[in-house]
Amino acid sequence: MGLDGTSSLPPVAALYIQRLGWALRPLPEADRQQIVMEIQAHLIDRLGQGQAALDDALRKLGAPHDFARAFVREFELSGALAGTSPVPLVLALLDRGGRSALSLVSGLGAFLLYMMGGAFAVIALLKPVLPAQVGFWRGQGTLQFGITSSGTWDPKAELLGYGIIPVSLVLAVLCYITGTWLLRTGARALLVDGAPRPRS
Amino acid sequence: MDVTSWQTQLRKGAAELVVLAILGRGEAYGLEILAAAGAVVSEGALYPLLNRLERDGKLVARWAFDAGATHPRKYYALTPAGLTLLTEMREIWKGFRQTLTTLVEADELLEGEGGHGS
Repeated sequence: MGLDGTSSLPPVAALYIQRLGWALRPLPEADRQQIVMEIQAHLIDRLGQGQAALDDALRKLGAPHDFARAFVREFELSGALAGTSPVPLVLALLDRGGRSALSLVSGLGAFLLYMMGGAFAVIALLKPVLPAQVGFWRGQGTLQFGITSSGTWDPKAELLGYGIIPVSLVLAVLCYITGTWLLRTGARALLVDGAPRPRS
Repeated sequence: MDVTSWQTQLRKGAAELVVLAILGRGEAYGLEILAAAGAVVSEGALYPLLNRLERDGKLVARWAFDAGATHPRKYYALTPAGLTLLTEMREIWKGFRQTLTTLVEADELLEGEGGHGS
């Protein structure tokens, strides 16, 4: 269901809604839309009670980022963050990275770990296709894990054979798990970035 | 802890029960709930709380256009799980209120007796 209500709101309230939507990006799109629509409807109702009521509502809702953080915190409470697609979370963390070193490190770290996990998965998939070029070789003082051009390494120096498939798959899963953990740590950092969280 | 932050914590602890109790009387949208619970639940705390209760399956929501309204409103109602939770929380609250009232009033009485005796 759509709601085109911002036109009936004064610019300050329309801007509030826009900023709220922006700050809610760690949440899934459907949840974000619902929240924005509901707060929009609330502000329209409050405007119906008079300009002073609308001003009062904006003050009591708090700054858009703080208000959004309350939703994300409640979202975490219900454990729903675990089901969030990692892509918007990575983007949100990288976006906030300019203001929070922890967000930048976790966003970038998660991104790199997902990329490494993807590379390990590709290695596992390519081994049956290019058996001579995918492997784990030991040379003179060097080790090479992954994909190489034909004839670069002596086949006798290859250590794992087809064992590289389960090893790569395990490494891919480990990268995914670590990346996701880092992502969730960063998402929690998003919550505490700014106003302090109330302590229970 | 000063008395203001203690009061804030009290309200925070009571908010969920109050919202469930209001919805126990029938479905309502945010501003209606706020009108009934405004002394306990703030605007900034109500919507995240409703959002969580809905996602936890304690509330169910529907969007509806009221007569004469130019925009839809999100109406909340208790689910059976929400009703069960309300019943449980209400019983716990009654026991807690009784215990606390007895303790607090007993303390006040003792203080009063002490004051008269000195």
